Amino acid sequence: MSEGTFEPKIIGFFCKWCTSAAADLAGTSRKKYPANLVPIRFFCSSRIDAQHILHAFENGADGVLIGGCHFGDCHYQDGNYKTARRIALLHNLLKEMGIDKRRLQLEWISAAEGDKFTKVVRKFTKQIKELGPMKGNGV
Amino acid sequence: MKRIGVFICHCGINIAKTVDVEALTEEIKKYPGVEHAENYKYMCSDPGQNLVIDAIKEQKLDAVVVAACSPTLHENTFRNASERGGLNRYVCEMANIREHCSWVHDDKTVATKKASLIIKTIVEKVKYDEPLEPIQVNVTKRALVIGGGIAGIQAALDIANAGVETILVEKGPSIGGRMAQLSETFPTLDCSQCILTPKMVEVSQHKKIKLIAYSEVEDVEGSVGNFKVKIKRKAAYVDQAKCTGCGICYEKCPIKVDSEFEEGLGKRKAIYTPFPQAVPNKPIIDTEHCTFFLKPGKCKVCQIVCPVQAVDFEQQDEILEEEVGAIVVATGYDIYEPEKLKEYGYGTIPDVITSMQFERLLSASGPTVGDVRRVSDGKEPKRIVFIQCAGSRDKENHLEYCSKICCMYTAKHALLYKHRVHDGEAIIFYIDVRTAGKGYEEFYNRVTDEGATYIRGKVSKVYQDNGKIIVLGADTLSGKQVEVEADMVVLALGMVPTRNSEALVRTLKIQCDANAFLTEAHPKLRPVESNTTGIYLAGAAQGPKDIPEVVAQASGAASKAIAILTQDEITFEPTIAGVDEDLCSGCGICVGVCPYNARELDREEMVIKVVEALCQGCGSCSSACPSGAAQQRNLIDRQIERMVVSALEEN
Amino acid sequence: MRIPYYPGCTLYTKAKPLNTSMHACFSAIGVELAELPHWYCCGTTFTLARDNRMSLIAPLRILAKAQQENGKVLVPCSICYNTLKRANYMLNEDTETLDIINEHLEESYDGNEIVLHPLEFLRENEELIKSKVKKNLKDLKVGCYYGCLLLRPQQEIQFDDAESPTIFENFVSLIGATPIDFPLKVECCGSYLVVTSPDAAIEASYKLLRNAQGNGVDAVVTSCPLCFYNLDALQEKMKKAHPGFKQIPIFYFSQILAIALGVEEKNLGLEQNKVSPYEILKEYDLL
Repeated sequence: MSEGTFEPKIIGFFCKWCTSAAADLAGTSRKKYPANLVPIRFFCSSRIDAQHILHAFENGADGVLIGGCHFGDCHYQDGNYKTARRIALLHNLLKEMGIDKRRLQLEWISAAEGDKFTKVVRKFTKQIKELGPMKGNGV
Repeated sequence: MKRIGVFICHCGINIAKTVDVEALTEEIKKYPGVEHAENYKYMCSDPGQNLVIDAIKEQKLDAVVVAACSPTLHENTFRNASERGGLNRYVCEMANIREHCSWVHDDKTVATKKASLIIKTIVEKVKYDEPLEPIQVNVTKRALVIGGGIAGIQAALDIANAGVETILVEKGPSIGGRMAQLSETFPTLDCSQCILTPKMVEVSQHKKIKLIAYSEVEDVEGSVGNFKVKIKRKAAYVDQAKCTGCGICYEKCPIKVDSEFEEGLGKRKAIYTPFPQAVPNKPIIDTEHCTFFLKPGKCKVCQIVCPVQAVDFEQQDEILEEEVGAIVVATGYDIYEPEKLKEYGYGTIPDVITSMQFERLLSASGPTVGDVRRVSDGKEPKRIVFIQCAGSRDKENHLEYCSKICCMYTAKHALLYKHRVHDGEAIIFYIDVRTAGKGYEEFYNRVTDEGATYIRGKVSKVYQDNGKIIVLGADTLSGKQVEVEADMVVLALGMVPTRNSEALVRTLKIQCDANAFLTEAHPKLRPVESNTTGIYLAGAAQGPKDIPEVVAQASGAASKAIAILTQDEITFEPTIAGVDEDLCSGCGICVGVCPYNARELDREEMVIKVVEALCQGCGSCSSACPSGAAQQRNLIDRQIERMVVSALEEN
Repeated sequence: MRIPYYPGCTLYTKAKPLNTSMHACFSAIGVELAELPHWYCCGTTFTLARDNRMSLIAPLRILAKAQQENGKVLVPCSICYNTLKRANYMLNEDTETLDIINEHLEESYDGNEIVLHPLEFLRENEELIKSKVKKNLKDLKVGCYYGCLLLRPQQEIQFDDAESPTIFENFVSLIGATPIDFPLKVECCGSYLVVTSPDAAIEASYKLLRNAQGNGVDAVVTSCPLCFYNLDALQEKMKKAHPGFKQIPIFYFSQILAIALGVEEKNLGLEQNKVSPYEILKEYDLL
């Protein structure tokens, strides 16, 4: 990392059926995006617990991107609805903790949307860069 | 501590070009817990797999990480190799450094760093992975085929011929589907009904096939080996057991309605079978048009004339419950809505018709007994303009994709028209003529030899001027505008998945693409499987294709189903969510979040019991459990936490 | 009501009647057209080549200027409308380019300006127009000619259905005239070919007018200055090429709106219409 340019650390929690498959498709289509995000694969986005996200922020993540299937497309019927509710609650909580809620983003990206995956990662990385590092923001 | 081996694949240059595999191997060697790390050009090749096997034995490894492509592709390969080396398959994991890294980044330093982070997360995961044994389940040896077109018919016959009992559900009153409507088939010009109806009869007479027509699949529960299916048999108002199919009811019925089978060019009655060779050949009553249902109690002619008292106005919809081990989805296609192509005047100009309507005009069993006649005045058209790609290959306004069959059926239309009307002129506007297939190019040559005129360009507008149909288009080869007067215009419309099939897709919990075609598990290597084990795909529901391809795919889907249905037991992934009974307080929160009723509260012991065969391993319960008692096997909270920490590590 | 107004160059030269009648009819419905201060050329459609950011500068500056007013700008010329609306779309799709151009200009544009054609404004204010109509145009059979630039490319312009638009007909019905549909209402008038190959433009426009007449149209209404020129000024030459051709009056939409609103004849700009509109207007008792 050259001095002065901030390269954020981003964790991606993706469900295996849609968003992780979309990331595979982005790869197969050789769509380029920034390398700041490290993906972690779950079976379903509903497996992602609030504590995992907070744990990421606590350990130096500047941003967390959650990816699941579109409503109605969940491989496990309605896991993504649970995720949507959980993230909405967590957004409120982040505010209380002094973490900008733009650091946690939820996106529905289907296995067919390799293009969207790329765009979301690019945009989210840019957003986190603009928000600056987490350190010193008092977690 | 576990002794972990990490194997880094070059994937030729796919990974090695953007990831410095040598430096990466050195770096990973230093990571705590990693006992052995090496790289190789093609890890998935036999010598590559042998490296893994040998290292497990020689280095006494307890766990394996293969850093290569997506686990979707090769997780099985390396888990099998690990087993051959003497390890449990569930302590082998893949780190995806190709799709998620080398293919999407350009900078070698950056990509190498990211690859190391990805590998480290997986190393942390395997540290806590436990050896697991697959879950075994008994198989219900019956199949369900949804859709009775040529795809469903072929799949049902193949499965039944393998000796497996098969239920074929068709939503319409008869099987046969779109193929039954076609005139003659390219490139051999066999009569479509002549080759199809024997198969339809074979279905109806097959001892192993249970045909449930005029019915729809309402609900599907369970998983591969043991699906529970609810089928709604719609009220036909004719007792199917009593009816002999004599046909006197529809002869005498006074109500005439546009026939769906004839694409609106012919009539049927309010009590009807869609076409004479229908299977089953038992009529149903269309309550939207039947006088008895519109004016309760009136008419009843069919009931009066029926010699066996089969007409039953009291009949109700009925729910049938069936258990099956595998499902083939063959829900077929519709044609693109011509009304959306406003510039071509369908619906306002009577002699602008669809390709499917033209099939009916050409069909010997159609409304004109095979004579080509204008809809408006019954006259023989002397010049027909065929518009290819009507609504296809048009990203901005209509369908982006090519429907594959339209070039060939339009060539066939032109030829059959020339055979019927010798002095007739067939003019075809096209973007490209695509004739990939056995005997297809030869067929196209025959059509041009017999005098069809091909103009390369799109039609911009079809309109009427003083009663004449004017077709405006471009000839891109001469660079000129073309204006043609036509007696009839045929729109070569593309294929779309059968309308209203989305609900079924949801019920089955399978996926479809942006165009609503069903998604296969792998576009090349698993083209007949859905992403859900035990559910297979056949026919145009999965993508546009012609009859030979549909039949081949249906047989492929059938053989996949047979492979499961001829076994006594199948095994499941054991990566499901268990319960730590010492931690469980019996609060029951997880019971509510489980989508599969896989969790039950034992009120005596006040702990949760898991029904292993029902659990699909989504992990919803794990994140909902307040005490950490519900843990998804090999993806426990501790693992996720460690993976997160390693992903955030500074280099 | 006051709305920012971008006339574009043609409305001060060849298409003066459009400008005159725009002011007349909008003043009649109580809307003040506030011309943007120090406006300049929109760049015209030629400049919208996708690989050239330079070409987006002129539109961006106009949009930025308009944005300082109230977020909407009224653009009657089809060519300017097409240029500004598409440029706006492109700048919104490609925010990177938007940022780059912004960095190099004094003005700053955030992409939120709405480019409005008067017909869109009229569609949004139907009740207001209805309440101001003074003259009944009931029997006047009007053919609505759209041309291409109002409608295409559909995804970027989003004005109406490019193949089968109805906004013009709805407007004509609103002021009490009878819209007559004719199939060639969205086909090309010949456009700039009038300069390089006038015969092609004469033929193209002739075909349109003949098609309109065949469907029983008394007068053709349009909104584009170039279409207006081709349909109106070329009629003498059409007659030479096709001796049987009967001339047909062409109006700007704003002219017939002004007539319906009871605007004085001197403010209609009719004297510049090449094919005399007076006979038909007298026949229908509209003068």
